[in-house]
Amino acid sequence: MIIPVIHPIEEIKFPKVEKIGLKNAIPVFGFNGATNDILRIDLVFDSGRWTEPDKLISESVAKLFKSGTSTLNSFALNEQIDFYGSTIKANSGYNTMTVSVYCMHRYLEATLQLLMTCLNDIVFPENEIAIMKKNAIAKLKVNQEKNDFLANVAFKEIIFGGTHPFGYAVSEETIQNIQQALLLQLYNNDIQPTNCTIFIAGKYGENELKLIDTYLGNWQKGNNQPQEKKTYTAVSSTQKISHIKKEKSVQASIVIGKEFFNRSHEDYASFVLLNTIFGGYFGSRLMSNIREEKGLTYGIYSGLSTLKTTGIYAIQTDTNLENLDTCLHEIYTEIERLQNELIPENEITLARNYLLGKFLGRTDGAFSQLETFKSYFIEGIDINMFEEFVQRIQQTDAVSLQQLAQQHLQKESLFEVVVG
Amino acid sequence: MYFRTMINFSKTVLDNGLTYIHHHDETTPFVVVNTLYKVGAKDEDEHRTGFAHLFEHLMFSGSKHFKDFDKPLQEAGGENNAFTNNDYTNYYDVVPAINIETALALEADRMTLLNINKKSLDVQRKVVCEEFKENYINQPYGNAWHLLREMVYKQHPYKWPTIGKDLSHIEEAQLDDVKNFYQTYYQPNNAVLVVAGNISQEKSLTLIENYFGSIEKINVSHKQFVESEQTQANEKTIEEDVPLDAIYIAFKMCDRLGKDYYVADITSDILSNGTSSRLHQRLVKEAKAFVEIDAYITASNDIGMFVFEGKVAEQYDVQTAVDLIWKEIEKMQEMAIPENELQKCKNKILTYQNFSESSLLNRAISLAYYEQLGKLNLINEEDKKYEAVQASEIQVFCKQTFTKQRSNTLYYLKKK
Repeated sequence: MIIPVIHPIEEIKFPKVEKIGLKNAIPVFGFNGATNDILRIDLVFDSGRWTEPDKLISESVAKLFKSGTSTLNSFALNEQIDFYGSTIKANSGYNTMTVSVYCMHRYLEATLQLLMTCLNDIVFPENEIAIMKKNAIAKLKVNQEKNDFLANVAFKEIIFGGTHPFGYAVSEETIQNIQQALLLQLYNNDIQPTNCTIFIAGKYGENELKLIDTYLGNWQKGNNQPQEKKTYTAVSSTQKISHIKKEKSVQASIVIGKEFFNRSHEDYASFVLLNTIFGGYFGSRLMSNIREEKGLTYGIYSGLSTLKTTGIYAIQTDTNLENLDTCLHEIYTEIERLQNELIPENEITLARNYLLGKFLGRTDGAFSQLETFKSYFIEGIDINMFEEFVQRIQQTDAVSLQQLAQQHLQKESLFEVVVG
Repeated sequence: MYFRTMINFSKTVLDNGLTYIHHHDETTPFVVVNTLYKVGAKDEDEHRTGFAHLFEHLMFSGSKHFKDFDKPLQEAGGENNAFTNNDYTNYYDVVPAINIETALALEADRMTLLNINKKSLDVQRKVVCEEFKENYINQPYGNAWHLLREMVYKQHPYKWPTIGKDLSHIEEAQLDDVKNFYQTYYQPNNAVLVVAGNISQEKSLTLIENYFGSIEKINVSHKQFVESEQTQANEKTIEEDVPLDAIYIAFKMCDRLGKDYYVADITSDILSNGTSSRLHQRLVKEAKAFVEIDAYITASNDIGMFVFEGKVAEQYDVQTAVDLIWKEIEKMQEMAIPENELQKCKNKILTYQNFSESSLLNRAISLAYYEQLGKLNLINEEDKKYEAVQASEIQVFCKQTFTKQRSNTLYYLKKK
């Protein structure tokens, strides 16, 4: 067999984004490209944990987004949405609330009518809140049996602090304390046309855009009180290492990491390359050493999650209790290797090409384009940076990767959580 | 009124029996190379289960011309993974179209010249054991499917899950068994190869002939399995350290090509797809008997399972909760469901299908799936089959399927 030559990906272009105006000036960004008659509409609101008046309010508004109006109970409302085969769902994030709609063209108008109902008229009935609480508590109890869940909760609490919106842990009591008045407060303040950006993807023409303008372009909603700008400061724990004992565990869950930068930092793209080599893909050092060489785990990954104003860096894995110390030792050894030795050129090329393939994937098709553009938009990053990141990944060399490891991954700066 | 783009494909069978399917899409910069082998957990020896899946792991250990599978593919800007189920094992590579040859060379090489050695077996055995622990031992309710399969199937090898019946089966896997398994099942005439994406059929066929054409075959035989009709209700109770009581009720149903398949799928949607579905609305929202409940089918090639699964609300009586499920079943048996409820489920299935097909990878995997099923054309016909389902058929299906004698009830209870 003749081994085929591998061609590097030389250029990746992010397609031009279509900006569409609505009557009420809500910005709409469009990605046209599906072959079937389908449309996805994402409405993104400045909201989420950052703006919520109390713990879990944002998440609960999302869960109860179709919980009933003054005239339709939850069942009637959901039955109509279901009838058209459409999906309307809200998701609460750290800094945003996203309402996503999936539907077929032939039911677009009916779905938009129902969407407007969800945006304007939800009353958060007490009985629905009660059921939601009960089920959330049940789910929490199941999760509290899972070491990886517990480790992640503890990790966030340690790096942000228990009163920070990104750091608080949830107990049965937190769920019990959810108040209808606070749900309405967030819903009325945040779910507003003036606080909204729309992203659409799939297939659309004049007809679909006209319908969107008819409904979302005419959207108005009262009760908008001026928002107080909230500020929070992360207060990380003074204790770097936290091992939580869990009886009857077979495996321990490990999370190691810290609060980090996001896409706005000048080192972002180069660091993503460094992380890819370290633990960001299947061929990474962590995976090769700890899974493929030593068989200590089913999987180990490290990754950077970027948020609007900050980021989270975390290395995560599960391992047999008896191998815990070896596993931890190997993770830190791999970090030291990045700091003390130059990464060989072929290893960089491999990770770089893999990463460029991922970037190419983010331009592939209307739905990926929507996801990519939306995440840049939320962080306030111009989409032109996409191509700059690609170039940066192509240019970063071994010396700068070593410097990045020395600068951003000092062992003393990392927090270590183990549950098991 | 409604328009769905048909999925284009062309099928060629090479001289060595390899089935090759091409799907063209010039809107993407990628190609998907999807290789499906017709071997799954059902082909295993009952005393050595978990083998098909363990073997899937070994397929990444390198082959004659490639020290390692992942590295060249990643260097080509690609991504790959695999999954095993009871019926088949599926491997996929997504690569930029310019690097399609790297994916083809890798797949061809491991189809016939896999490097099987003690070191990689030792490591992957450990990795799979960790996977077993992570997903089936260290998780609440993790072994429920081990128990349930054994209750439902008496003869058919579906009675054990893909991960394996017991951890010891994996721990004891020997190098010779692995070599044997490879020889027996990893043959071109037992595989379906799909190339989908931005490459023409002509160009792709030339490449396929070049990389796969010279692979020699050994005949592969597949066992046929029987499973007799159940005549007596089955019950099992287990107490574990779990936060809530859980209930599983399972019934045998037809195979994937059986005439009732679409009826069964819609029935499960009527019961539990979406907030307005019957079980969710009546048993979670109104009766507050469950905190979550689901009804679904396994969609396996051979005789399948129709499963009800629910977590009972704290302090709610388990037996009463089970009775409530049966009451809902009886309603489906006594009266045909209203037309608009049926239409609702059809609309949901159609929307889901249309969105799912927008992914190139999904299309590639589906093509391989329908081919192994022996009905490639189904990929463009299923929407019509769902559309044709009648309310009366659902009623008949519920009467025939959901009887006490045919039921298998697993009480997975919280330790007192």
